[in-house]
Amino acid sequence: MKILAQDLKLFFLLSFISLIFLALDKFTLLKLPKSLAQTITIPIQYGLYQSGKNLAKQFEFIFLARHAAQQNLALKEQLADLLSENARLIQELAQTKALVIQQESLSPKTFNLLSARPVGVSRYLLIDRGSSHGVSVGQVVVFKENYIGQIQQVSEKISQVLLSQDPDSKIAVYAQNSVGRAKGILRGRFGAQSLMDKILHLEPISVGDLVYSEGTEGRLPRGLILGKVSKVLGRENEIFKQAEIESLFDISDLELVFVVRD
Amino acid sequence: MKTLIFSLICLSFLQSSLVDLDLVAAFLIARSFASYGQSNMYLAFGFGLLISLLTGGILGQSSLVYLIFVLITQLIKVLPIHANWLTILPLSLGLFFLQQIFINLAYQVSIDLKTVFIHSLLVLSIYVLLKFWDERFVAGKELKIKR
Repeated sequence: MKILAQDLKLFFLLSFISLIFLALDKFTLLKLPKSLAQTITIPIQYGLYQSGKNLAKQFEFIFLARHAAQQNLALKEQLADLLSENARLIQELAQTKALVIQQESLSPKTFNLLSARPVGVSRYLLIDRGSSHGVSVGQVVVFKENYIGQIQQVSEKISQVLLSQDPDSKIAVYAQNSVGRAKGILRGRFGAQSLMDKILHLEPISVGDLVYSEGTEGRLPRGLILGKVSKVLGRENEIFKQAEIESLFDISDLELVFVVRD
Repeated sequence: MKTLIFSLICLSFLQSSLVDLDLVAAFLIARSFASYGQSNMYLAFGFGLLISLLTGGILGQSSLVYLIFVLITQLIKVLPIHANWLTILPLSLGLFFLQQIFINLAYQVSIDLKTVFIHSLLVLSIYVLLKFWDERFVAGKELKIKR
């Protein structure tokens, strides 16, 4: 208890002296002794501060390197995302442009068109649209005003297209030139060429004439281009003459085709 | 005593130039809890003035704060509760929290609880170091070899 009382006495004494210092400093009466003391302490503080800074700099590069590595990784991921997004947008733009061009050829008021991308071609052309997109067997596939083929088999997401060059394909067509018109049946042959058969000798047909669909097979619109005449075959002793028809473009060059839904 | 004063001078300069922690206050609380004496009061007063000088604050302000810290610690030391050395943790938490409240009222600065916890841990660490230092020449129990 006695010790406690002594401590309290000392506390009050020192507190009182602190308050005196406080009051004197408040009224800037200790300016001179403070500045004299600070002439000694400030260089020491400065030296310590600089040393601390230099020491921190030695280790700073470790943190910076780690941070740079993390940042690099994040930027790479971001770049990859942006490139994918860019590729997707370019594809969408191409699709939109193709759709606009297609709509200029076949009016959307008359035909309900569904865009599709070729995903494979062997005997049949595979497109990335199926029954879930409203594709059904027998629908016609076109590109601008050109006939590509007819839907032969449909699954959920993919459909097979029977091309005009396929031997199973038989389409009623006509060839038009300035003199007149020649009707026939277009039969596919493996390769890039098809054969237009059952052409009457009297009907005019010559090399370079464009061949169009008659539109007599249900869903097939009239006036779609199937190719052009590359050679006329005919003997006088035969009832009909024939013409070899070549396609105007390579199927594998197509990025986008359109399914005529109705 | 000389080592003590030298350590406090180093801590004062570190506190003012490099480290944003109240090292002197932590040391004084730890010392007051470790060993009772009037020297703690004198140290609190003297180094309070030094800290005010180094940090460019008003002389006497830090002294008052440190004197209060030492007085409260020495009052706790008198109570039986001080027998458990972990009492220093809630004591330092309370003291630094009070300091934060004072700063909040005086300077309208928000209370930083993270600092309070860091200071408390610092007090505990210094206390342990001081105890090791004080008892470095104290011989342990002798080993008796059975014959």
